[in-house]
Amino acid sequence: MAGPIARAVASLLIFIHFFCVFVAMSANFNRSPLQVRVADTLSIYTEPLNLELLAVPYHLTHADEPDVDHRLEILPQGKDPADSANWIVLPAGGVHGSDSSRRYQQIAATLATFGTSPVPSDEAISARLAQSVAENLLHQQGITPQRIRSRRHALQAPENIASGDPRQMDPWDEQVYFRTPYEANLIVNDDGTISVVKVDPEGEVARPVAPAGPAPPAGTP
Amino acid sequence: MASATSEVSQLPDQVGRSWTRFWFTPSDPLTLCVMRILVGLTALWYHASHTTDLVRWFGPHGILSLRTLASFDRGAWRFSLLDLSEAPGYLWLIHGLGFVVLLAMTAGVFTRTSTILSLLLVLSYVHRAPMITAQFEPVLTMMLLYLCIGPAGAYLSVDSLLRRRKATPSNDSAAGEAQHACLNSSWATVAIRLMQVHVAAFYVLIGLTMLNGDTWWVGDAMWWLIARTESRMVNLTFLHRAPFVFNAWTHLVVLVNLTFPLLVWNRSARPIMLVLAALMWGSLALVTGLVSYCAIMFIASLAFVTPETMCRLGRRFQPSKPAAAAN
Repeated sequence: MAGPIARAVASLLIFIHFFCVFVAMSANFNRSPLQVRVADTLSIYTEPLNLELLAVPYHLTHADEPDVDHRLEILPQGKDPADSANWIVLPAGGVHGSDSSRRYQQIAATLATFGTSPVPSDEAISARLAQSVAENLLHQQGITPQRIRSRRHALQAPENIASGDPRQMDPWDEQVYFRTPYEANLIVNDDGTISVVKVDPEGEVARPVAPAGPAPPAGTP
Repeated sequence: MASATSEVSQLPDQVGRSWTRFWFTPSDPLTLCVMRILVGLTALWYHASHTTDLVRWFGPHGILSLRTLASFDRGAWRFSLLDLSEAPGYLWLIHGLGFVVLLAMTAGVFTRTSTILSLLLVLSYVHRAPMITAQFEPVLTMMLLYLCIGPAGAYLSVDSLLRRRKATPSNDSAAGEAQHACLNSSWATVAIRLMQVHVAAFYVLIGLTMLNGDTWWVGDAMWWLIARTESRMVNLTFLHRAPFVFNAWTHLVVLVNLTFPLLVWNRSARPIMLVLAALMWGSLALVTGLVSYCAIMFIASLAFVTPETMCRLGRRFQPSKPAAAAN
């Protein structure tokens, strides 16, 4: 590098860069209000360069609800929802460890997280996402969807394997290991759009989501 | 007393000299060039992973169409080339050009330009749909960013091949040595140091976030990863009979993550830490199914391998002069 001035400038830039990097990293989990504020301010630098690590699960697992496998499943029109073989798991034919499978799992996890959130705007996001997945199947793959769900595949404890109970020992047992945090009926409209009607765990149904247009603003009743 | 005062007064100078030596002593860019190839291959893998789902995710009626994305808070400073249109033709054009750019970077064709374009390309995919990114993408973009800074095409590249052909052929060893010394660069040191510090920080982050939960403390985190039926690549549930094994495995993962950023700077401990990192990331890839992430973390860890070691491993390139900065 040319001279001391160039080195001084480079040193300053390195210092600023790593200050931003370390703030972004420290804001990954359990953020203080100060960290949130500083990280927000520095996002003008960290966000475009993807240095922001907000809630990226570098811990791999804490065995919490978001740390389990999620499945995105669609039931085609006219099929019996009670038979799990009728549900299409996305991506069809996905390979373990592939980035493609991981992305669908993330969409399923997002559906589950927003779908179970008590915040109304979060529910609107999950409905919009469900609508997009369903419209994609309808328009790009020619499958008319009847229902969509995100399922959590619970983790099998070592005691379950050693329990001697065949259902506990089978990690694919529907009753023991699968939960459905989000499920919605899909209604295909005449104009090719899809309305989403969430099925609550108690069997109640929520208000249909408008088939097109921007998401309703937060706080809309 | 006087000598103590003098030592204190010299401390700022010593710190300044150490800082300058650490960041700016010219070094051989071979490590950077090897990183360019490995990161380029990983970026190609990432890019190729979008091929089957490109229109399904981003096209008209895509799962993450621009209309759907309007519902999410993507942040104010994210720019993506894929935001400009949803037309399948446009998406395929960008995707195809992306392959050309990434291949050019990996092969070292117009290296600086193709590396910058590769960074912009990968960032475009990341920013188009940040909700389907995970641990892998921030490490990949970090590596690409630092590759833009240094002379990553000095070796093992089409650029260097063409440069050698253009140069006057000479069998004079002194001339060859002088030419080789000319490749030593402060920018190579800056780029590789940025990688090293950032990678070390990633290890600290991973270790600390692990210890933020009980599972890594009590030693059963590896079991809960093994128990993820749909993600894992190998079924190791037979280990339920040997809790000590997954306990030890869990503690070892935490230990490696917390000690790597400290010990990897030590020349004697470095090979051990790199072997441990290889074993850790290899085993995590099999258990978690996060192959890309584990691969890029191991590749990033190779930023600590000195050019001399690279030479010895490769045995195809002339050994360079010892570069103090890279040690």
